[in-house]
Amino acid sequence: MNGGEPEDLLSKEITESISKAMGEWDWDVDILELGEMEIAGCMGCFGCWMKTPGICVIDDISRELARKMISSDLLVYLTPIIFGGYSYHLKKAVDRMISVVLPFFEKVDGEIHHAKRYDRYPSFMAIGIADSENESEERTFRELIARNAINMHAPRFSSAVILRTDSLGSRQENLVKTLRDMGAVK
Amino acid sequence: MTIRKALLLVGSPRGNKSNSFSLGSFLMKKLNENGVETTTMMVKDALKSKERIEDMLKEIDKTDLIVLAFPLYVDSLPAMDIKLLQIISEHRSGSTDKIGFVPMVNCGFPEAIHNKTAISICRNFASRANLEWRGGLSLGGGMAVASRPLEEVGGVARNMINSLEMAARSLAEGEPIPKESEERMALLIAPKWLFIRLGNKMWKKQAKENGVENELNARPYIDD
Repeated sequence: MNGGEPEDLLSKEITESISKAMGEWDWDVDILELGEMEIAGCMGCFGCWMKTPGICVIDDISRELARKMISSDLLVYLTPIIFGGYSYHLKKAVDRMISVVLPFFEKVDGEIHHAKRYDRYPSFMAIGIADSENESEERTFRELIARNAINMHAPRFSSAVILRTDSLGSRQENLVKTLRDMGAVK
Repeated sequence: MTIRKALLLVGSPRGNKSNSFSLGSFLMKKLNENGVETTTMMVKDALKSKERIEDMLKEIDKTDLIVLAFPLYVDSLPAMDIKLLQIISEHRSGSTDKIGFVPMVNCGFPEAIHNKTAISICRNFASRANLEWRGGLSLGGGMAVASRPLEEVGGVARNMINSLEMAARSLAEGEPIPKESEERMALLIAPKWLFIRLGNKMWKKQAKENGVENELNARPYIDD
């Protein structure tokens, strides 16, 4: 899921690099360009839990995103880092996918979270693009990925931060290392 | 130094039918009692057109304090609030006018700690937007408020009310929120076991009212 602006060439380049690296290891990669999709914002109505369980009440492409997410083995978010969080495009999609968990509360390591709706969930990897080094935003981003991983029941997770000023070689190295950490490529 | 004006931005997609509005408007009321003139705007409306965005930015330019009240959406702010923060940050680029900023986040989980990443995002935003950090308020178990005015919520809102009264006194003086106010807001509203029991009962009751109690665990996206 690419949450970059449609005109952001670096996010396109990274998307292609990931797709190519994974393709070499026989992954079937689906690329979703969120910035080019019409995705409505979540209304906070809980309809996906209480009215049409498991399906958002707004009929747009986000239903398909949730289906693809739950049918995949690895979910990859790519986003410019905005104040340590996701871009508007990505966050719209993320907010609309809470239908994949149940409303019910349960304890996970002493903390309360929403229970699983499905038996299995994808592993989760996020790549943040930063304009320049910003320690605080990078820390927030990595925390966010770790927290999201718990809430989406991801069996494994990993995050990487790529600077726009990084060389092509260093960008590729970072990506392959993160994919290796996830066991996605060897 | 005392402040003159405060602006409440309600960052819930549910607008004035939200816990964010209940909490935010109570704080505004208390600021008002402390001599601060207040304005309230719904983010969902403020972002509807260029003209409305301009109106909001004009309000921001006039204010001494911005309070952003929002619900936690997947460990962060609702998408529309990310857009809001980007607009404000761009508008404030290079500005040195002294404006304070306070995020106030509520989540459905009982532990306020879930709000930590959202508060961090807000803090990073404040730094980028040249806004003065005046502390962050973080509430767990927000659904207990049920979008009612805090005065009507009863005993469960006692700590919230105390926290906001304390916060208002300091904020009106141009000071950050005291630690005690932040801590009080973050207290558990019920023991976790009770929260799980009552919460799950509430979901089942709502589903029953909608006639879907037997479909709650549906798995529409896989072939079972």
